[in-house]
Amino acid sequence: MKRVDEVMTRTVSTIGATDSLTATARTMEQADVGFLAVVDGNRITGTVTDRDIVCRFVATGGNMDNTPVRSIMSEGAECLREDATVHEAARLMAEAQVRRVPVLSRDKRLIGVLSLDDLAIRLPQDEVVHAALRGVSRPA
Amino acid sequence: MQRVRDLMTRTVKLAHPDASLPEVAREMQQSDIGMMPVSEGERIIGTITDRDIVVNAVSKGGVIDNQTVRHAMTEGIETVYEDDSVEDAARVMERCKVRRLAVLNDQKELTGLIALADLARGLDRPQPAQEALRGAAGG
Repeated sequence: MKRVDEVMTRTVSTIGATDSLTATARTMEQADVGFLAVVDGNRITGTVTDRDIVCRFVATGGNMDNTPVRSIMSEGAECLREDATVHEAARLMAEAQVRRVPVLSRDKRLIGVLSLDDLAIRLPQDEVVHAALRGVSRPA
Repeated sequence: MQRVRDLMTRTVKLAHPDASLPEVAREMQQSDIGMMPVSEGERIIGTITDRDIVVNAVSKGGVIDNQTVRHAMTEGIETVYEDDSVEDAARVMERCKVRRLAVLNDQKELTGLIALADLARGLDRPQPAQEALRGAAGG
């Protein structure tokens, strides 16, 4: 069975917990991603998606220059260890209803991100992956 | 053969170009959707997604409250017909690097939307969704 570190994306973009939503949106734009790990020093404290920004900030209004990302992030990210199996990863995504999970090394460093799309592309025939793909749908 | 009509979503929430981004964001949140076609009069002039709002408005800084859909939307819309095959829809998504398409009937009226997730959910053999995913991943 494949391990998470064989199929994950090794570049993961991060944003500081006290950085503004303007900076967060620019980082998403420049990196062409919709998901960032939120870090406080070396520690990952949460995650933020483009959808989080829309639902938790834009919907209520405000000034993005002085709204820190930590005020709208999802706290306490579910993380995977690099040596977890792809089935463990698919089940975690289905249970937590998330499409992307940060991957940590054995010494707890952030080394990548695994997305449901990574799993679907690399393991097109896998039943467990398909169950997760059906269960975790992106809003249409 | 499965057709677009078998998997499409028939409820479509439309956004007005002069609506504020907070109004549209609330609609997206309440309806659990990430994209709305933008209509002016009878015409669909574009689409607005959660990503458009982040990349085209939030990234510019300032106050979001009075910013309008018109300034954050993507102009134009990719379409398929209800009678097109699911494979055709997957190919359009892949070619255009989008995850959602507007669905038209024979009279070219907007009757619904189809998303990559609909293709993935609806298929026993997930090949077309796989192909589209390869092309549209991250888009």
